[in-house]
Amino acid sequence: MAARSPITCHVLDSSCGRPGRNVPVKLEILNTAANNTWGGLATGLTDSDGRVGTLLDPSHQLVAGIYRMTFQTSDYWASVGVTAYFHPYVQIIFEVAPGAEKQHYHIPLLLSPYSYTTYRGS
Amino acid sequence: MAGGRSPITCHVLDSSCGKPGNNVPVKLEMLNPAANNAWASVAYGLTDADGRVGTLLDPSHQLVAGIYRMTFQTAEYWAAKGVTGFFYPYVQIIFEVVAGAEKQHYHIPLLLSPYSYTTYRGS
Repeated sequence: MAARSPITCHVLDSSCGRPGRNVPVKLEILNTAANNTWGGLATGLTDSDGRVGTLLDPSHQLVAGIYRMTFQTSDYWASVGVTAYFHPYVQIIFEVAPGAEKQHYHIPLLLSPYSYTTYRGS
Repeated sequence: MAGGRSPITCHVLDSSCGKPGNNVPVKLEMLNPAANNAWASVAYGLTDADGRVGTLLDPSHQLVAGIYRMTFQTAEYWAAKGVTGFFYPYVQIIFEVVAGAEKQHYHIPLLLSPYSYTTYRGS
């Protein structure tokens, strides 16, 4: 398998059965040494397959810690002409545990206007 | 429906064992655009044996339109159950009470398992 970002994501719009494209995505890491503030790591925009191609460089070595991925879903709904939805954005907080820094972390988001599901994918 | 209830309610279900998520700390905040978009604490609770917080807000509380955030301290729940492998230390659900919809009821279910969760606007 070709090298890829150690953290990837995939937005699927389950209300229409298609990838969620042009969703702004932000990745941050909790900085426990800086009074638990969130430090920006990467931003991206999902492509036509609902994925962000290279959120992090394939050579980026993850450090253990708490990460937060934010999907600006209100921008997505506006772009597809949906005006009624419940969650203006989705934030998924996940942990890279010590010893697991070399694993891959895939964050799918199955999204519809009044519901969403996420899980640790691969 | 008879009997007043909190205008915002929640329900945690542990889908890994098919039981309610009890003793999950829950925090409700509201975004304050007038205070530089800081989150203001609105209420605090702990889920009961049925995975619900009985009275997060007083039944007489009138919601204002705006963006709310409900935080479930799921790490504590997993620790209490002896589960050490889980992906999400906590779950934050950001939802909107739109202008004109302040008198509606807002129910936030959380279907939780160690490596997945689902939420939706319930009733």
